[in-house]
Amino acid sequence: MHALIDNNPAIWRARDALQRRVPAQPTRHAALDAVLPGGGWPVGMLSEILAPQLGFGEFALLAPMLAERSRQGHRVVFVHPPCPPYAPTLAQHGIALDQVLLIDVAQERDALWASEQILASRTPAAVLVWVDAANERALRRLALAAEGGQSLAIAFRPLSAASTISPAALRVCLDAPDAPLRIIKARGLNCTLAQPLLVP
Amino acid sequence: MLAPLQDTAIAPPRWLHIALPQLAIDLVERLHVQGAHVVVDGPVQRATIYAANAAALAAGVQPGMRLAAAQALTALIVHRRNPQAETQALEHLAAYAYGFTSRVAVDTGLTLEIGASMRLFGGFDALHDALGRGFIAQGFRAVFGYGDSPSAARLRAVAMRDRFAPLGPIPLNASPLDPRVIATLAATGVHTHGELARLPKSGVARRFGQRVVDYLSRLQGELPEALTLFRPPDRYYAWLELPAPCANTEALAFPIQRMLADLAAQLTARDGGVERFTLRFALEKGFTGRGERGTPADSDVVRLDIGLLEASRDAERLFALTRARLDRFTLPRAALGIHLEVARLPAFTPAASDLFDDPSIDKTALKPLLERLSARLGSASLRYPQLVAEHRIEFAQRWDRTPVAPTMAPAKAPRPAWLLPKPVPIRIDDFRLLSNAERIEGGWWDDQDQRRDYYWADVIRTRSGQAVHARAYVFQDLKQRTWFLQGWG
Repeated sequence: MHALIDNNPAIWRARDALQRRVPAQPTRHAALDAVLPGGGWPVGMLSEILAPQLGFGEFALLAPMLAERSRQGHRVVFVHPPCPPYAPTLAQHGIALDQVLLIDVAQERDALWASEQILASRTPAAVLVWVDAANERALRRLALAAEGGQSLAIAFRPLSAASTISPAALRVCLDAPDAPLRIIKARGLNCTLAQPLLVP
Repeated sequence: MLAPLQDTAIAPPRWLHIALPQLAIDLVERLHVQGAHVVVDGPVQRATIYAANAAALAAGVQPGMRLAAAQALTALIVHRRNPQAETQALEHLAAYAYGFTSRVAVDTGLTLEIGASMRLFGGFDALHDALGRGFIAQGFRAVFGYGDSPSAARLRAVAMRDRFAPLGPIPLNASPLDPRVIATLAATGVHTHGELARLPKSGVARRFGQRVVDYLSRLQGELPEALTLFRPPDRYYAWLELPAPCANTEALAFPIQRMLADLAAQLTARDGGVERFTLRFALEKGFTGRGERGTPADSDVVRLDIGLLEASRDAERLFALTRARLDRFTLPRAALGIHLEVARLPAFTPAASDLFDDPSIDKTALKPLLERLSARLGSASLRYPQLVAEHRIEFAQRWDRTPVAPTMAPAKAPRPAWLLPKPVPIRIDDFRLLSNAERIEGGWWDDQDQRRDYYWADVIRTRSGQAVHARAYVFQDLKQRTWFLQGWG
């Protein structure tokens, strides 16, 4: 049955059209790629990772994508993280260290400015930026800077921000290091997510 | 077929003189976009119009008019003539012209020997166009005069004649001769160069001095001219007096942009770039608020150093960097003027292209981006990872200010993704250990001796009493028997 549908060009599937519309970078977590529109992290858009703090599996979630991007010559930029990444671990996961940049600033204002500059430039990058819970405006600016570019923008926010409205195209909640991911928003997914999508 | 014959028959001229009849008003118009502007000269009480811009001329203002009379015609923005700024502009243009030929002399205009450089630039027309465009782009109106001697070129430029115009009919008042000599000659019915040349030389020498005869000989190329050749300085220095004291850095952006464009033009001419430059703002005197204008004391100068990662001569890039710094820069008092200085002009080298291997990636975008970031955030804010051959966790990496190509293979054992800058003391009762211990020892050689047992742990209770299940990397100090949190998984 599947073969029949797949091989018949006359049959048009809405899911394919939606997936084609979203340029994406595979997360390399098969279960996650299968459900995400476009099959991965949306490129040229803002994604959000919501977690109470570091150590919730955010690195394991991102590492395959960062490794792939860095090997393609894209910059991997950590902006204003609560504590710096550990370089030996980055290397262990195949992230090319010569593409890694840490932007260590005291104020969120500078962190936002730097992220915007990188996203708006012609340098393709994966920008990981830590943003205050309440700062909606910051998110809008990041989303705008990322729009249409070749870069990935990923904002980290506290879990408490999950209930607020966000301009991000994709919102992923991390409730515990071993708990399933909770996708609370995915632009391009042809359904409203009344129930969060859980990915093991 | 006759017209081209004339061009090929006449050898291209060896000398070019560039006259800048509008220099005083050009300097004003480079900084002001709107309004009727005049440059005045003479004593303050009886100032006369030295030069006027198009808007002022259209209102009927004429050079030579008394300022009071001109002001009766229209509202004027008045600038005092600034010979220092004019000299500086001439030297700037000389340095620019130096990019075309190494034989440049400066007097009231510029004299260039172009015979040798014509071939280099692809012929007479190409050279003429390139120079002309360069002057216009920089906001200077120039009149080009060509000739087979410097004097002939100068005369054609001052009289605004083309390169084929005969010198004979050009009036003597376009010559650099003493105005009294010109007046005396006019009284005897001699008005043009041709008429003067027809007079017997011995008689002219006796009545008007040898200088007049020598001038005619130089004009005809019979007497060589001693030109003081311009030598471009190794450092760059420019000073701009602001039209009005200004404390608003936003308003300073435009004049600074102009100054940087000048610098960029010179760098292009020199085929060089800058790695750092300095802006100094001369401030008003602190006490009176509106102090005297003059050479400011050291304490009345605010300095802004701007550094680049690699030499550049791109005006936009230089300005973007300055802009980023200006945005977060406040002047304590209003500035009267701006100095721009480049202490060292290093050789220009094209951008390295080995940063990336992927040809689809725009290699030129990265460096300016990094420069912008470090200009605004400070170079200490940009950090690059480096691996170090070390057992001890915190010494196995470094975040440096300069990128280093990492060559080391990292350890195989699982390590935290995030490392706290300093281990934080914890109560182990709040954590649940998930793994066996990994012992890490070392450091007796550098007085940072460590004996630690590392574990992966699960935080079960934070200080606020909440239960959190974050993956933690903790260790027990085996010397002190105390526990620390070092990172997150």
